[in-house]
Amino acid sequence: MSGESGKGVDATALAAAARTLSLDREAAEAYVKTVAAAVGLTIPPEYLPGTVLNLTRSAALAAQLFDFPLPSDVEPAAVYRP
Amino acid sequence: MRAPPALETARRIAGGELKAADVLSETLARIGSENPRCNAFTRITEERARRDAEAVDRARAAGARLGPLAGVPYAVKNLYDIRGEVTVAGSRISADNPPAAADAFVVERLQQAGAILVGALNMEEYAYGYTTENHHYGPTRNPHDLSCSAGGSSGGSGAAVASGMVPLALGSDTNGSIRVPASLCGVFGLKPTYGRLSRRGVFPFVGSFDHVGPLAGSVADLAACYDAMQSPDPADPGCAQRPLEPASPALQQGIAGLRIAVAGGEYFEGYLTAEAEKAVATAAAAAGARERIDIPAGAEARAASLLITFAEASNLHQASIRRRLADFDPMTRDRFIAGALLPAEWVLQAHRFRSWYRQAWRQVFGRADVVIAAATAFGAMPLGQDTIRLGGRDMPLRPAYGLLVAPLSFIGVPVISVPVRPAGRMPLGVQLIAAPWREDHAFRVAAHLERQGAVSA
Repeated sequence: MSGESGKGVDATALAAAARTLSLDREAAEAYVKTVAAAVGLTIPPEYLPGTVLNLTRSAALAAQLFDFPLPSDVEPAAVYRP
Repeated sequence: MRAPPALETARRIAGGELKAADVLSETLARIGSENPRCNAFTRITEERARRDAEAVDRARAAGARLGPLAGVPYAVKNLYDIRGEVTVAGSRISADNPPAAADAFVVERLQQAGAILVGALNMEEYAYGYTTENHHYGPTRNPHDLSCSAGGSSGGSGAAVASGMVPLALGSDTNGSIRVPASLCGVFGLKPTYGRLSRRGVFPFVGSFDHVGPLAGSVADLAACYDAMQSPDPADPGCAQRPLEPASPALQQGIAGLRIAVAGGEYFEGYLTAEAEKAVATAAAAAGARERIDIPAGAEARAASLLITFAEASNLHQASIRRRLADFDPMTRDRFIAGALLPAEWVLQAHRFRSWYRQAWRQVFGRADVVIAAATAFGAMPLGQDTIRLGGRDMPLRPAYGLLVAPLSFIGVPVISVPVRPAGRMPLGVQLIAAPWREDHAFRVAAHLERQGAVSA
């Protein structure tokens, strides 16, 4: 599914790009459209600019986070108890 | 006329000086005159309140033992289940749900303590914001200046207490939603340790960080309300099943033996306005705090908490995002859509960073029992304002209210926001941050600051 819908946009590349804060508006809009289609979400055109803005802001937050040298042995805090 | 303190009302009812029914009538009259000004209440539960107040009066007449809050009026953010009422959670969408079949767990607890629920309070849609500029139910206004925000997302809770309509209110805090309105409205607010109080019957926002807690006009009232709500509840998977650890007995202990420090470093100090610096200095001086501890990575902690928030909130509401987009508040809608599209890697990194940040604070608590920081970098701003200049740059105003609170709910430590009231200025809150499960330490410092006259509602 993702291979078909994700044509033209590589989510891994996007995450890497975000880390250098180079996610421009155009790339963010392409990502939003592609991923929305992939997850079965229809975004009416009037909500697209706000969605793209929010995605861009999220990317900036992620960039900040990925700039932090987190040791690879740090695990998420959530513990599943069977 | 302002609501008398909760504990004074309870004492006078227990002593036969006052009838709960009369206290309720006065409360409803105050709500009738004050609420049109600040729009804190979205629902008044008068019939239930009359019935409960009469039950308290009958119990007293029969010589029965009354609960610690018998006859005390209070209200809850409208994401708490109230039996027979629809839990709207600030939304148009959830207004179509059937009425709640039972009270939220902590509402049950307060009912057992004798408190009288008088209504439900306005909030940001689905708790997603800091200003309570609610598109569906109107903005809640700050009782100290009606042109200003009361904060959010528990804005109705802050305004209801600050305006004197009720002495106690319940809010919820995921990224600061109790402490921001407490700061802007000049009242006391407690976000307990994550897992301390049951969230059963409280509409969720972000399960990883959701907390419930009280707002009040005094430290003793805050502690009494918190104590009455404690009880392990296996039905909330986040509830830690701790034994009861009441805070009220700690209030008279003073601060001798407590190590109290100020949160230092670029993040916790860099955004502060002069008035926020002054509020922190006032609290620090009254608490005798001399040490300044550099807190690392605040910006990363906030970034991580927001990314998890976006993802979890959008997942929770994924059905509505697909079916009812037009019914969302325009203020939250685009955030809900974008949150459904985040790469998993961003969210997982945020969860891993959470462990790291918790460890960083464990080291802080090796040096201090209570850490003081501003709750908001500035006091209440006018409703409708979009930007603010902080640390030399323009920032979007609404998220900036949460800068100093979000990193702490992220790791679940207990925090009390205490109100500093500069003469002629809007109030501003100071956070008293304690180690997990040590609410009593924060309460001891809060009570000391109140006795010193450094903080007051």
